[in-house]
Amino acid sequence: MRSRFRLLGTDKAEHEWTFDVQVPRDSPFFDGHFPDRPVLPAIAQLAILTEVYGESLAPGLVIGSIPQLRFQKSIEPEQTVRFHVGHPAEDGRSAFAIRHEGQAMSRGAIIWRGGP
Amino acid sequence: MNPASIDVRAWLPHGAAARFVQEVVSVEQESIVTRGAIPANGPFVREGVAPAVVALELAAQSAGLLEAVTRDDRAGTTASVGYIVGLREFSVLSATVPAGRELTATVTLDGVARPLTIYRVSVSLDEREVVTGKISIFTD
Repeated sequence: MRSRFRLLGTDKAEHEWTFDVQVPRDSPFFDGHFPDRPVLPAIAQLAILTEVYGESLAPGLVIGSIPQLRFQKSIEPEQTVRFHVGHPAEDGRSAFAIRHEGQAMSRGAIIWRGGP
Repeated sequence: MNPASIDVRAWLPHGAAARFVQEVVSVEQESIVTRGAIPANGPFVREGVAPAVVALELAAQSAGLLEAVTRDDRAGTTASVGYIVGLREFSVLSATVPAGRELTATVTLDGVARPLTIYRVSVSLDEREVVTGKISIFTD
């Protein structure tokens, strides 16, 4: 079975969780997106966020809304990227970014709902 | 435009595994309604469901179709690749969506600043909204 993504490590700091992810070249996330130029779909970024953060690091949290999120640069096969998820405020809002070698690939804010 | 005449496979650059749109229900110059589903054998599905936020892909692909079939300088030529570059005021109204179930996307043009186009979108399941908000698409 092909791996969708590799979780390379997680870290909890004072203000945020971070976790490193690499998406293999043969990941099914790239199937058909696009046939001539594989790019990680925006929804795959959000699916990984939901799965790693909402199911493992902060179990029970799901994305309630996205006030603003920009997908600034394409994530390509085999790139290692670091997800940054701020600890949610009382209203569930947290800062969110995906970085590669310090450069923001995506960034914005997420409002989480639910909880353990 | 007769929606039945729109060949979704011809107008979307996505391969079969990534194609969410199945048919166009109606299309006007600045809006489109489509039907589709989250592919049941796709990478977003585990135990028969996908995170509801994944449904936004149906809206994004629908926006791409609207762009392709209505834009004067491209209509009748070829599919162009569009990328989601932004989400605003986006609400996710369910935790998960069942894979393979029919979803309806309604997409309306909200603003244009080429190569960027902004759309208001809504995706529903059994007439209940799953996601709604604004998406920005960058078209190559």
